[in-house]
Amino acid sequence: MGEELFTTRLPAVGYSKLGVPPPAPLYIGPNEHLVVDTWSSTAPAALAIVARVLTPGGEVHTSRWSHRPNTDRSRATTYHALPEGFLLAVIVDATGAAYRRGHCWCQVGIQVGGAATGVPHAELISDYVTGAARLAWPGGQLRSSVGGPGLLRSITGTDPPAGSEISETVPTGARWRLLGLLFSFTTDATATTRYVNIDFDDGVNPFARTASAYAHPASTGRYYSALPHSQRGDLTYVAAIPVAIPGQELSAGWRVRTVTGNIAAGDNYSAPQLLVEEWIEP
Amino acid sequence: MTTKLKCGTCGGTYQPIQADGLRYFHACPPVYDPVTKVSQERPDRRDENIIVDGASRSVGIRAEGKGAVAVEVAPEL
Repeated sequence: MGEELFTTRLPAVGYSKLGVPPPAPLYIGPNEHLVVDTWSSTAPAALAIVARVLTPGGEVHTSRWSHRPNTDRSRATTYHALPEGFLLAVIVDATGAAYRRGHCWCQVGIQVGGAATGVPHAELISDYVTGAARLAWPGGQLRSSVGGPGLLRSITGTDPPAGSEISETVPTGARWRLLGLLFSFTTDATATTRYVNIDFDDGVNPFARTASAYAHPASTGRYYSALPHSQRGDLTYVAAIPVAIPGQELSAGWRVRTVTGNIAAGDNYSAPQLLVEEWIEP
Repeated sequence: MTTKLKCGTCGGTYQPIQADGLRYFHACPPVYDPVTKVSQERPDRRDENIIVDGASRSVGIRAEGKGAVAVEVAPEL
């Protein structure tokens, strides 16, 4: 048989019924603005920014603005004046845009003043915009742009003329992890053996070099396939010469390039095809 | 729409807009001397990567070099 319990004393915690603040932690004072910053690599698509503010008069004021990111991973900033009151919610909506994680990094904050000289004092949103889900405050998480999975991209690099090396540079505002590199190399009739190496540098100083084990003869065309943790080999009879490359991340301005022992004037590399994981790094 | 450019400095050809719709920023490769085993930058190298100021706003490209010309243009539909 169960025992019934009764509370016979008054509660120890009381609640005010008048002057109760709204369920919002952020009070927007006079001359405070919503600041929207984006860094984007993809085709421009306007983002909708929506904010709801509970004004001192008890009205809920809903505002909607448009923000257009750049396409070169540089910063685009817009300032939006807010009415005085309690900020209830902010969302960033890219629904319908073909944004995926890694395309467009977005930060939303509050600052006093509506220009670059304003004083920021709150960060509300810091995350990638996608076409599949809205960014929201409250409820969202403040993330790092280089944390988590990046955007998988297949990039066709520059096709160098005969006698030139392959060289690909991580674009400004990006961070890459090189996951694959495929190119062909055709030698002219010069009677020396070529050796294909792949160098990584910081824009000036090489910090890693990986070499194929294949002695590439004259008048021969071969594919080279570079993969992290691949077996290095001179497998002459396979479809592509395997080259092992390190799997570290590469910052903006860093390069991956070929360095060819005994390269001749008529030797010709194809345009390289790169598979990279890419993040925005402001 | 231009689908392929040729660099006036190094002669490399490239797609300014990639298949995924994103921009490509060409930069000339250094020249490797197999005798001295040293790579050297071209004095008039082209580098289309942008320069950003302290607030990461674009202020231009790194090096114009000898420019680039269109070598392949998509027909208008």
